[in-house]
Amino acid sequence: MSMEITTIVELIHVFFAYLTCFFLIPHLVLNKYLKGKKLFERFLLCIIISNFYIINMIFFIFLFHLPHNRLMIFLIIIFPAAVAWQRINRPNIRYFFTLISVSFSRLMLGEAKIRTIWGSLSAMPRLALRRLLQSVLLHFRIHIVEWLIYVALMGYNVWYHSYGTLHKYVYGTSDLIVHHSWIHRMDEGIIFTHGVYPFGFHNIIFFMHRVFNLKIVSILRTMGAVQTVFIFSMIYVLLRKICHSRIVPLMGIFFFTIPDFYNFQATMRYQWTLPQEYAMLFLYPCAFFLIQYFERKRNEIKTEKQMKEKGTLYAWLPQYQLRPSTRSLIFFGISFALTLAVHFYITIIALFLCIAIAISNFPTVLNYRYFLSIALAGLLSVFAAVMPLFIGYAEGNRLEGSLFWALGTMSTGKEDNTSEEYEDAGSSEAETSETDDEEEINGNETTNTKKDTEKTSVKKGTKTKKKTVIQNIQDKLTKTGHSILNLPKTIQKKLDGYNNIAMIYLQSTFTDEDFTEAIMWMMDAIVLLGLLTALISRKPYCRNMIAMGLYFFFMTLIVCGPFYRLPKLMNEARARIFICYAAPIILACTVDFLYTFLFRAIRYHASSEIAPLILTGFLTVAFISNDNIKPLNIIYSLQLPGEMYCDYRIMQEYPKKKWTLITTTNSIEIVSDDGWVTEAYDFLGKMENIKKTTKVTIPSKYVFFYIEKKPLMYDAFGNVTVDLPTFDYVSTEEAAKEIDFTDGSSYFDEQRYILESKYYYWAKAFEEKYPREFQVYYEDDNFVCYRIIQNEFHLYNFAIDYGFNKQKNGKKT
Amino acid sequence: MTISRSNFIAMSVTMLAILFLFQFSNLSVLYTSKATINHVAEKDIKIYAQDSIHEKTLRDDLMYETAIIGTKNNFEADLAVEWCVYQKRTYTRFDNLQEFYTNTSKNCSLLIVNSLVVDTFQDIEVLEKVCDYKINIIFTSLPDTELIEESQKLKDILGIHSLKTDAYHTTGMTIYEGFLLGGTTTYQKLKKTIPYFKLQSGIKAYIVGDIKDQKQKKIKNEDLPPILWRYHTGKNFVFAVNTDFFSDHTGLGMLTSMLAETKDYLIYPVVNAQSVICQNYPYLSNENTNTIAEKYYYETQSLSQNVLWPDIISILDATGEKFSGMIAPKFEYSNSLEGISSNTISFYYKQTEQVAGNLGISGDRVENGSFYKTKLGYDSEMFRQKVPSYIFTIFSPGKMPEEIYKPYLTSSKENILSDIRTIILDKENQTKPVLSFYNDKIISMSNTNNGFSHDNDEDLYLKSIETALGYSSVSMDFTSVYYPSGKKDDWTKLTKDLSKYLNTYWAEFRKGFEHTTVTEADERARKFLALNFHSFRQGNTINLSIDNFFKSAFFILRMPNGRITSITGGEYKKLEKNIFVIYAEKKDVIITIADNVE
Repeated sequence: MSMEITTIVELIHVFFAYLTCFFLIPHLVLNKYLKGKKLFERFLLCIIISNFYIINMIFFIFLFHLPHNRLMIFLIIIFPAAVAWQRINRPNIRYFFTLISVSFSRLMLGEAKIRTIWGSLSAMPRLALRRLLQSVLLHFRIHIVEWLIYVALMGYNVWYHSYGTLHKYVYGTSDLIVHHSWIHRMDEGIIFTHGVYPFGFHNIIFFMHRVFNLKIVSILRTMGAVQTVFIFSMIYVLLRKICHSRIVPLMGIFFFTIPDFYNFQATMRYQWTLPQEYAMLFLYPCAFFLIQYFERKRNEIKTEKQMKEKGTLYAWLPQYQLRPSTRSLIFFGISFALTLAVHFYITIIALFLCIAIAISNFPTVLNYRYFLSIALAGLLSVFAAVMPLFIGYAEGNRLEGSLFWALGTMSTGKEDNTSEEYEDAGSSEAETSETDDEEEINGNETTNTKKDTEKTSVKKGTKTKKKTVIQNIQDKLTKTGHSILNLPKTIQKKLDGYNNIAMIYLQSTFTDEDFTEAIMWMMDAIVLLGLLTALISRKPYCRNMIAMGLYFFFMTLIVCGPFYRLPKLMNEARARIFICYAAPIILACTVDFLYTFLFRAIRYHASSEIAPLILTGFLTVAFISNDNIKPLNIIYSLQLPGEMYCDYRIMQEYPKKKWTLITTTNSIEIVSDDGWVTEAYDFLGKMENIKKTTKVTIPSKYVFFYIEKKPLMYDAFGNVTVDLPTFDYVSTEEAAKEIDFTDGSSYFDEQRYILESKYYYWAKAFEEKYPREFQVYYEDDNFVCYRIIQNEFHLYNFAIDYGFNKQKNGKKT
Repeated sequence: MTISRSNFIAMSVTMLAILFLFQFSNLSVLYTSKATINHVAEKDIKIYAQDSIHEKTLRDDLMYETAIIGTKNNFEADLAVEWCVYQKRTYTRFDNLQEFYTNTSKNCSLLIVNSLVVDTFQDIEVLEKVCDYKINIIFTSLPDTELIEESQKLKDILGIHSLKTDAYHTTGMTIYEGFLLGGTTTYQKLKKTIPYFKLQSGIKAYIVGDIKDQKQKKIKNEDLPPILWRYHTGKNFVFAVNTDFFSDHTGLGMLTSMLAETKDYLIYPVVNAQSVICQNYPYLSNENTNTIAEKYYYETQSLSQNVLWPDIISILDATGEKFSGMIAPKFEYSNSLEGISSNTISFYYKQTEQVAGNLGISGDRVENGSFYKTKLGYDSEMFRQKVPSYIFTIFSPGKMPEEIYKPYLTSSKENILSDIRTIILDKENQTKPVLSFYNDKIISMSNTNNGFSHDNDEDLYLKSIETALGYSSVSMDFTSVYYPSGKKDDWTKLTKDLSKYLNTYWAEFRKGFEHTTVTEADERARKFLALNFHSFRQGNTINLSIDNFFKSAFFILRMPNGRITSITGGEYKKLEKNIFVIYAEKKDVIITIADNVE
């Protein structure tokens, strides 16, 4: 099977595994609760509850050092399955156990076979599953246009974000190797390998790896594209909550999918399976449930008041074990906790989002009945997320280094260049100088303003003495009148000022200045129009619009913060990822505002959806014809595609732990479950000063040698559509140069070129000695893999004089 | 209780039918038996010596592929010539290396030398030049250690770094997988005294000597005394054999394996015949009765018919072997000339017919003195009288000297040996080839093993012959059963040993090779000696074309790491990893191969 087909199969496998565990099974479990809810809300609830459950169950298993095989399967699969069955069949406990015992008796008596009993026990769940699928199909039939747009957009996204994996096969960023290693250690029963860290993402991958028997490498290679579907769907879900139109939320996805508005560094990470991106899955659910909470709470207070007035409160209250608003608050808490459990940067963003929603609900939020509940939910969610980390810490694990790094970043606003691969040193310098200049400008302005104020106050003081009281009153009234009349101008001036500053800071976030300006104005418009309409009508719609506008404002403030002497919470490179994720919300909200304005009169009749539909079509054509489509991603040069292909093939074809790879570092984690790895520098280093007695043996039956014919420019990046950045072909000139064999530093820069050249010529010399045994296993233009099959009882001595190693006397041979 | 008439009739008819059906088979066997006729003798011989590829036809002094260095009396060189005949390789033989150097063929790809022909520095110079010609060299035995120590050039040719000890006593030896058929084998009793060399890097060892207390002495496997290895000089392969494997036919399979280790594939013809021969059984007389009765409570003939025959057949049945018996009419021709019962003869002939076996005539007798001629005369007369229609085609002379039976074989006068087509030679007769034409009509085949014993060296011999020829002939001499000389000759012990050996040492070869009677082996050996073949590889396809093809032929295909994916013109069977038996059904066979997947 070709690697492309393998990747597609893995992608499908991972997608359905995720969909089953995080949507279908939770749907069965929550069948009763989800009844009557809209499909997108059911989807949202399933995702957050299942993630919360699985993450915490894995934490529970690991932190209490329980065996992570059978118990895990019991807790995570059998237990929910039993609950689902129990909930769907709704027998009481006595009936439940009677049924079990009768089934068991029938089995023992030979009256029924396992198949029959299984059939009767699973009849209801199967029916529920069938109903779920029928409801989805029915939904599809009724809302076929929406579904078609959604499927088309998601299909495009999957293709777009899996392009790198599909064509280059390899991990596109070095972070993945680290995460792979951490998940792999979980296989050995060790969590927090390198210290306490939000392990939510790792728990999920580990769960899928164990339950579906998928290789970690398979999940990490393909999960990026799969999680994108869910992350992008969250834009839709939130917009469906706040927009009037049904099509506009799809436009939100469209705005984030098709046009080339965003800096490639802000969107490229979605192609990789990274915790921060996975945590974004829970960002908008926070907003969704908080908004829902306010809506429900308001309604409940209103209803309670009415019932109280009617004196029928006693009849109304007992119908809820938990009031709907409390449930929303719980789900908000779960979503918030998930952001913290997976990646704390998202928690910061979620906090801003919550603040924006809280402000938009001012002054209601200050009401103790709201405030206390929200505060309590927030505290509990933080507690839920932090508790596993605290237990881990209490068990003696130190804190993971990146936590200190993140805290440092939050205090200094600077990220370590070595850990932030895509941080361009040049641009950082430029940004720093720009910031300094801006600060200077700001400083001058401040001093000038002070001087002006002083002058004005002196003038005012002299005038005041001369004017009478009536005149003063007249003056004040005039000034107030002037200021009221000039309010729009003043607001425009202020907004203009902020927009201009933000545009400078957002230069590297969006690709186009006009777009940056437009989106800033859209933000302003949403907030202002929201405020204006809120004054007229107190409908939640206006508040939500204000919330979204404020949210985007806060996002921009993260990067503009230093200008206003606010603490810089995160590096700009990281902040722009969140700004871009917020941008489609603003764009869609603007469109929906227009839609609301235009079609309020016909009460948003279904026919009114034609307008956004036409607009979407028009925009699609416009973007395509203007070639304004988001270009394909970039990928880091860490491993040649041939190497990953060989890793897969060898893992598939050769018995476990019977083979060794001689390679650089990138395959170490990928193959560590199945084989052994000896590092190339170590291998060649041992024969560098060769004597006649030098011996280099590899104690495994099969030995594979990975050689880069065109050595990689390690960690350089290039577009996924072209070859990875490499040096020229290996050469004798390079092989003749000296390198340091003491550690892996020889994998970087030109050292790698020399190392691979030496390695290549070693292989050629060894092939001469063992032409029959030393065979080419795989070869392409850039990479070659040799294989030798050893007699395990009499190993080959790989130490040979290949012409580019030194002899005992130190001379080159 | 009464039975109705109709029921009674029905039951009677059923019982009669059952009786008839059971008895019919026995009666039909009895009345249709043609046990006293040898059907093999009725058929004409299809392949004679003149049709075969032999030493003379393969000798090509100009375009030879293999150069063999050794004078006339050099057994190792003789063995190499025999191997070339089996491999169908053109060859020529030179007395010394200088002679070879002046007449080197362009086609020459293999040079076979031994300790007797490499003994001067001039010889080493020639070998060094041969390396430049990229001709692979096989040292069937190593030159003197003094010469090796003195000559760095020779060391570099052989891949020797230094000599540790010139006479080291190994406690056994290990043959690694992929060299001879049968996989990795450790012989704990095969002790040798050999020079202990330390080798250079770039070698591949196939056989190493074992050391006592290896673990305690902390000696790695790679540092064990090498016995057979390969070294690549950078231009050619050099194989070195550091012991006396080539003092008998054990070297045959090693030569094949060494050749295979130089190629990306090797296809060569094999006989594909595994026979079990009962020498001096059936025994037709009733001699040594007292001894036998004392030991087994049976008379000799009763023992033979009632104990030995069922035992033999059950053992052979269990392993799927076919019965070939070499009749010993008598053992004592001097003491009594009492007659042999026709019933006894009839018993063995019919039993043999039922198991589809073969019968031949044995040349053994137990007395000292020259009674062989009496024996041949008696046997001829006795069989002429008792079973005149049975013509013997197989003769196993046993201990009978060649000069006794040779005139009978070639004589025009009718005698018991006048129609012989197959001679079975003892394993001890190492000067004769394993398989060859004795004359134009008769083929000679050697036994490879004794069925009642299986030492380490016998096992190595078996594996080597199986590797080279896909042939084995296990002989069980029943003389010791009828004339026991101690407990070791007790039939209970012998059957146990036989059963054990057939179930273990030979079992691995049954995967790919077929069981035959001597007649079937004769037919296959004739085809094997007659055929010639050519093969070439194009990518993943091996094309095999066979000359002198007689309906079927068998080959072995060896690859460094490959498997057969499809075949046209024949069938194949996996023998071991990377080794396959090809059953050619047509003259042209196309084999598609692929890389081995674990």
